[in-house]
Amino acid sequence: MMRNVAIAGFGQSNFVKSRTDVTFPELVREGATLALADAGITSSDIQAVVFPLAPDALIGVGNGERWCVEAVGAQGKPFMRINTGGATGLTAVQAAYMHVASGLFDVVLVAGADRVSESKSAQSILNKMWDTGYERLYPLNTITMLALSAQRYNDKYGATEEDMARVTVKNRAHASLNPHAHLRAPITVDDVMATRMISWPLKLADLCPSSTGAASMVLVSEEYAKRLDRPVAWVRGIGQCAETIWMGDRVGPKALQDHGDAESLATAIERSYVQAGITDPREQIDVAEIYAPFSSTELHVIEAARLAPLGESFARIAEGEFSLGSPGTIINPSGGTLCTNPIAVTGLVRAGEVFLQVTGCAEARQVAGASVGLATAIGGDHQFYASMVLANHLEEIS
Amino acid sequence: MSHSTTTRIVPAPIITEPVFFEQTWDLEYRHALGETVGGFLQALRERKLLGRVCPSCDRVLFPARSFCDRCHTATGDWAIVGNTGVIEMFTIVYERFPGMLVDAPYVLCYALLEGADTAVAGYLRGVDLTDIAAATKQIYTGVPIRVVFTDNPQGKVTDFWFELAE
Amino acid sequence: MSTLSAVVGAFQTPYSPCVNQQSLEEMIFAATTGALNDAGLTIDAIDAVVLSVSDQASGRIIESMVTNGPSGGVDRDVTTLASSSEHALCYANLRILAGQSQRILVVAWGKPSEGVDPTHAEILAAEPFLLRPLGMRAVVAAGLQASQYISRYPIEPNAGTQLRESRARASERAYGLPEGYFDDETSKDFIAWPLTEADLPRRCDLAAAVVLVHPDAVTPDQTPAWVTGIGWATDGYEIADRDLCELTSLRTATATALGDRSIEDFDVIEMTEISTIGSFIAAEALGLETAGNGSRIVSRTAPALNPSGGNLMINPGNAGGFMRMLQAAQQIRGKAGPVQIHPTPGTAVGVGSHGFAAQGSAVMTFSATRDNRNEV
Repeated sequence: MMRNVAIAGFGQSNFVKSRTDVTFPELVREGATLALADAGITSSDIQAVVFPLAPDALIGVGNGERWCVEAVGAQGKPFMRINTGGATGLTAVQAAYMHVASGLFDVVLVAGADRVSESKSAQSILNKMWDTGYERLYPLNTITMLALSAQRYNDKYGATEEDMARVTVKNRAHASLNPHAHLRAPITVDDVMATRMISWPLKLADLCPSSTGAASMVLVSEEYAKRLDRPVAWVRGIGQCAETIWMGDRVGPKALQDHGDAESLATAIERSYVQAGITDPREQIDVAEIYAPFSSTELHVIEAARLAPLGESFARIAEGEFSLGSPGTIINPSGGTLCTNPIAVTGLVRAGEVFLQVTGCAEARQVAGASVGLATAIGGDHQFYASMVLANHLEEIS
Repeated sequence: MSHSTTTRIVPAPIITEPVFFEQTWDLEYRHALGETVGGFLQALRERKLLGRVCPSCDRVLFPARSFCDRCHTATGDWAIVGNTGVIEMFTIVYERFPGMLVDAPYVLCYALLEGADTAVAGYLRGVDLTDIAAATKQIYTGVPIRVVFTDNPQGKVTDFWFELAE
Repeated sequence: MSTLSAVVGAFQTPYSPCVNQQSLEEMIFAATTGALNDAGLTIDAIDAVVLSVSDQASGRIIESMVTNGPSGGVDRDVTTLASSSEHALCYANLRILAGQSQRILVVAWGKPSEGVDPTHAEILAAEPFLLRPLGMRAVVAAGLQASQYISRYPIEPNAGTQLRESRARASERAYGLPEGYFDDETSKDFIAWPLTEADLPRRCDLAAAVVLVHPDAVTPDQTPAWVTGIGWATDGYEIADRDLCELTSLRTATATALGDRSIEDFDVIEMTEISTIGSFIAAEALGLETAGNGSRIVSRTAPALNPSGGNLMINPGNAGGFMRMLQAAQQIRGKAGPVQIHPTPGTAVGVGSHGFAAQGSAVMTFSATRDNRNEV
């Protein structure tokens, strides 16, 4: 890592199903205002803006980022937009990192929002992610594609629907401590099992909600961070990886990765671990906000982060590991994407929550003494992966 | 903007309910499929299943593709793929998603067919889905299936589906 | 700014108003394969891919999904820029400067022929409450800009025609088309007064790719165009709040990219032209001409302006801005084919613009030599 870059401010709205009181740019502005205030700067201090927005159809305005320039105070400034599906928010943070690490900018704003439920046909829209020749004719969407993955993982490792339900239980308990989360009501395994079957083995309570809200973050250079009188989180490692779009290529003897596992995510995470000097994640990572929109997804992303060996995450969850209050790495203390999913900024919120944790600002959901954290995000049909390691110091991570 | 002395300030209009703008994105597209996909779909009319071989990794990519994205290499030979295979993964969809043209419940799966190295998406038909527990004993990763064609293939991937092999 | 990076490979698909024989994915595969061949590299040498996408232009949601494979992105670090294709090149430079990548494949495309009504898709880029009901889209915004300009400044009645003529002939030479190919009957009706069809860009299908590398990663057998400056900026969205004849964001981007160099010091400029009159306005914003005198560019011989013909005849939608930079780099590399300037230019500027009436722009400067401390 060459030039050191820090996150110096983060803001997020309280995520809900829908917001009828604001236009899209006004919603974006809400998040930007919070982040700027958190960093103790104003929009005139911002030198460049990165805008996460994915996909256009969900907010109903093509290139909607152009509509939001004024809302983030970016008139006349360098401004660009990232769209990698669900990974967008974290890829945008990485893009902002690049702006500062390049040496060309000292203060960069990442600001965006989503209002997924404003589109009445989100899954029909998302069906159009797939190839026009072969796969559009099938009702492939984010739910069915992850149901396939869940079925395969359960088959491979012997996980059950109850094991999946325990992820929902853990994350809802965490979300009840997070005033920004969308779904906050605690839930039991029996409750989860009683919800209606959507796409076997995924039931309603295994799925994320369609969330609306804004999130924003300020990234700064080391010199600038020293001038701000507030704790910051240093970006210690980043990584990305992409997989084939063809889910059928992720099965069979000649597959390089299995659709039941998250090997491409593991590659992205490993790239960030190498940059950060992480060799023993279970020992070195205090808190992980790992993107998992469904309960089943969390099982294999935990393993991709090497926080549990392959096929063992659910047994450990059943023993209470990874929950606030337990020893070891705490996973998704915010409630995670499962409880709050404003698609364009979900990845940004992962990094923001880790920022709050390592700067000691996570309030009721604080992991005591958190110093090093992992944030990840996933986009497309489990195709695009982003990972980031943050720490509240620049020394070697032990 | 500053107020000039001639600006006349008035009370804000009161709205009692939120205001909305409704719109449908009604965009039409005509996506060119190219000769390889075109050739595959043409062969479906004759109930033939065709893949293409990647000269770098030797995989038979099915359905046929003009390049291999693993190797970033153009594919070469056409290869015939058999009409038997196994299910690699599946889900049973109970939810009716708006805009999706299929009646729930149905089984969506990926099957690896004889002679192919990549699995293909398709519906599995002929299994009673009223009892999930019973259905998921009949359908599992590795269960053998056969390909069934419609009487009148149109040159679309939905010309065929899968049924459990006896 | 010292040298940031180098373009060592580039490729664009042949001219076609409508590619029916190939899928978009196949066009992209051809572009990336061509660029890699030109750079003498295989995909394994690439450590990051940067894509430029536009969902509604192509009818593919999260367009990067189907376009990643043909772009060589499998198993690689992939970032997708969705605000403009010129931003993809800017971002690739940031990665190299940040020390995160050595060799990057940057990919852009446009296949407007697949949209049954691409104009309709453009209208969806208008905010829905005030502008969309008015049918705001690219040509309408260009019309507003042009009408503002001619209400301020007189221009020679034939300046637009001369500009178009020059671009048409250059485009025909560049793409191996018969002379007069672009002189087909265009309507004299106003599309958006004062602009007629002849004043506005013509759509076509195209895919293109560039290999951008760290300066130290250039090998002796490669032909580099050294990147010596970048700058980009976006104006506010509200058209009424902008002076469409000022193009503030283009001025800012130009000043950032050029630093203390003058635009007159460059041998070649490839710039986005959103209309004939829009070209005069852009020339003023670049500093080539003073306010109101932009139409003098039709009689200029130096710098060479849009020797490729620019985007008036060859407008591949979202890929337009990227193409300006690619073509500027190709002039430096001596690879501009039939429209190559002789002797090979030593310096070039690429200018990409996007959004209504060029809401945003990016500027990139290129040089034939790596050490630019003593020359431009």
